[in-house]
Amino acid sequence: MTTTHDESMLELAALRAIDALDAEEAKLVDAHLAQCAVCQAEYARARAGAAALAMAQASKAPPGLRDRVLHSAVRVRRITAWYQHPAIPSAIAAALIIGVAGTWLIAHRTPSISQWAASCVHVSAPCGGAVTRAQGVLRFESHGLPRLAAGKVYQAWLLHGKNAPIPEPTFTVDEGGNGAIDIPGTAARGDAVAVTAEPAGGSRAPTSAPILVVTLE
Amino acid sequence: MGLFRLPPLPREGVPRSATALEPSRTASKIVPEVMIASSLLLHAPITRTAPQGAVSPAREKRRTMTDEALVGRIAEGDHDAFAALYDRHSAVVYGVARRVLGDGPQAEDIAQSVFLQVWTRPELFRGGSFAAWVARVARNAAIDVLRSAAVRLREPELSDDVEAAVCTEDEVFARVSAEAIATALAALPDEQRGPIERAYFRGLSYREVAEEIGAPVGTVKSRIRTGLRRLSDSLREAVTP
Repeated sequence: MTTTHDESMLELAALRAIDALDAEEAKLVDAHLAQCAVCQAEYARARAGAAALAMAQASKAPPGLRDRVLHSAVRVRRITAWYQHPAIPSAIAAALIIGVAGTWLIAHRTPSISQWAASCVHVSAPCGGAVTRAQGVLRFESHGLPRLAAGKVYQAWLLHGKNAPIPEPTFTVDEGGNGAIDIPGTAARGDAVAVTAEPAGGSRAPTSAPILVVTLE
Repeated sequence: MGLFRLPPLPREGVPRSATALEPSRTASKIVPEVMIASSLLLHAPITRTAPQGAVSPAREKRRTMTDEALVGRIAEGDHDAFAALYDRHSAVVYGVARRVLGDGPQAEDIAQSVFLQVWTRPELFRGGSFAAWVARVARNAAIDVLRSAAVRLREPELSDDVEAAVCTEDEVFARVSAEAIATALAALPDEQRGPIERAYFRGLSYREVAEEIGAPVGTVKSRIRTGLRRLSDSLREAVTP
């Protein structure tokens, strides 16, 4: 569907391409852009110009980042591979938790304070967090997590090796997306903590993809 | 422990579900958890990246694949393809985040989030130039962080229909060199480049830019538009046949 082109919108279409309009103007321009091929072309040109500016900023990423990204990807996939899986029967889940927790208790002896930063898997809601371990207690804290719809809560999961994610406590966040929970049990090096959105009361197995992932390395 | 196997996986080459292939028309308008849950791309096992140093034939092959083909492989869980895409584009993604947020962990975190989003939701890339698209994603994510404490939030993305209509313009980037981009930028007059950079990398509105540089609003608007057009025209001229 096209509508009559409005010359005065051309300049605003270009400004929209670099996101330089106020909210109300942007709304106006978006409505016009949806219907005007001439302004769409202007927008596309301006956006390509801005992309050139962005691409010219290339700067070699720090060497450690590659490993962080590639390792996180494996962990993210491990938990997402589970979220379409029907919830595992509770008895099996419990048995698994006991089995794995036993392994961790043996593996984990370090009493010092450590902290690991979370990776956000969801760029449209910039969020972050960290897992801290002090005197053997794991504590997870988040910031910037989006508010959830009624009936939903965040839930943490512990990932150990190739085992099913271990359900951990659920939590809600304040207006700044801040939330915190203690994670019972201990973890070994290489384990990960992930956070998903779940129905109130929590789930036995993840039902959505992770939003935050922390690798304890 | 046989009970804990992952769900059955489809045969190699089976297309993703219709849900995953369809552009997520409502994705940006619905609540976050639904948006995340809609990424049904987890049908294939992880192909672990070969250890560094050992260049397997499969890995070698990834190096010659187009970005678009690599993104397609990512949807099937190909970790080598993801690594190849990272190697190709990490400098731009990190560079853009660093330009917006400065040196430090924030820029690295943004770069990581951007790539993890590509990994978990490759369907968000709809075609055109992957490099231009991912540079924009990085810019927007970095600006969101920059503005998270500020009043003015970034406007939401345009509708999918408009997006589909305009993303072909990006294809110019498949046919211009990095040198051509640098040349086009070097030819841009400072009076145009300055306002564009203030808006694009610092997230200012044109009114805020005008205030900062003490120029009339109308002048700033027209300089930004002229500068962006000029950049895009230089790129088109630099296209190699």
